[in-house]
Amino acid sequence: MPGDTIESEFPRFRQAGYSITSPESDDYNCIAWAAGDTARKWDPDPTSGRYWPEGVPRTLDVESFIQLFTNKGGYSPCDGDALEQGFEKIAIFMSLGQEVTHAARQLASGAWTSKLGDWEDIEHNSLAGLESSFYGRVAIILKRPRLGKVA
Amino acid sequence: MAQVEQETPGTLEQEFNELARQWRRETGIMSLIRQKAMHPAYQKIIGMGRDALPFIFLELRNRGGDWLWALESIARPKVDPAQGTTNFHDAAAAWLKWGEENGYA
Repeated sequence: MPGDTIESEFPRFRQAGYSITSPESDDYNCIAWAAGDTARKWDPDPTSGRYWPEGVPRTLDVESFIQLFTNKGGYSPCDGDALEQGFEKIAIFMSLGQEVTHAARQLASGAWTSKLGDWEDIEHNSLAGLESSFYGRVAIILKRPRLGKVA
Repeated sequence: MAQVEQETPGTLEQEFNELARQWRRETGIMSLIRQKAMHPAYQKIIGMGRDALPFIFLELRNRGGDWLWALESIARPKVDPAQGTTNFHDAAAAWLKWGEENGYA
């Protein structure tokens, strides 16, 4: 999507800053991207035909997504989105209707990376830039020790 | 006397294509099928009933996309064609096979 389309959907990005880091793709979605998978979409709806790990509830409740990342990814809830050396964080967004809409992953630099639906991946400086009528707000932040080289 | 305009296959296909275009355009930022499927254009396609099935199968075959939710809602087969599949490609292929066997694809 052109930048003005992204900024139209997420007006806060005009000030918060972001950059596009991939071509558009509908091969994977934001949940898969947050989990490090670019080969398939992750979706709890059994009718979707998409991947969802065994044993995780198939609902859009935030509790299901907390279970997804804690039980399957080794994350645990934490207090804030500030960069903590040696830790990787995931932010889960929830709409006013109390449904999970999006997940973003923190990079080692402290910036965040998001896959915007079927649009591009972006790198963004803050989570506030993604707060919008559809994505809603951050519901919870999770963290785990960063895999690989830990400072 | 008022004339009743009959829906021709051409206009039905046009209607489907316009709704599908609108749905793709307006749900591009969404990641999860339940939210994509609640879009009014997707719901209108479901409301077209079995008349929409040939167009959905054509779309699924040519472009892919999240059409299994609509297929399930419209076709309501006794046995889920995608039962036992473990990935989207196989689930879509199973639905396309069902569509062929039932004269929709």
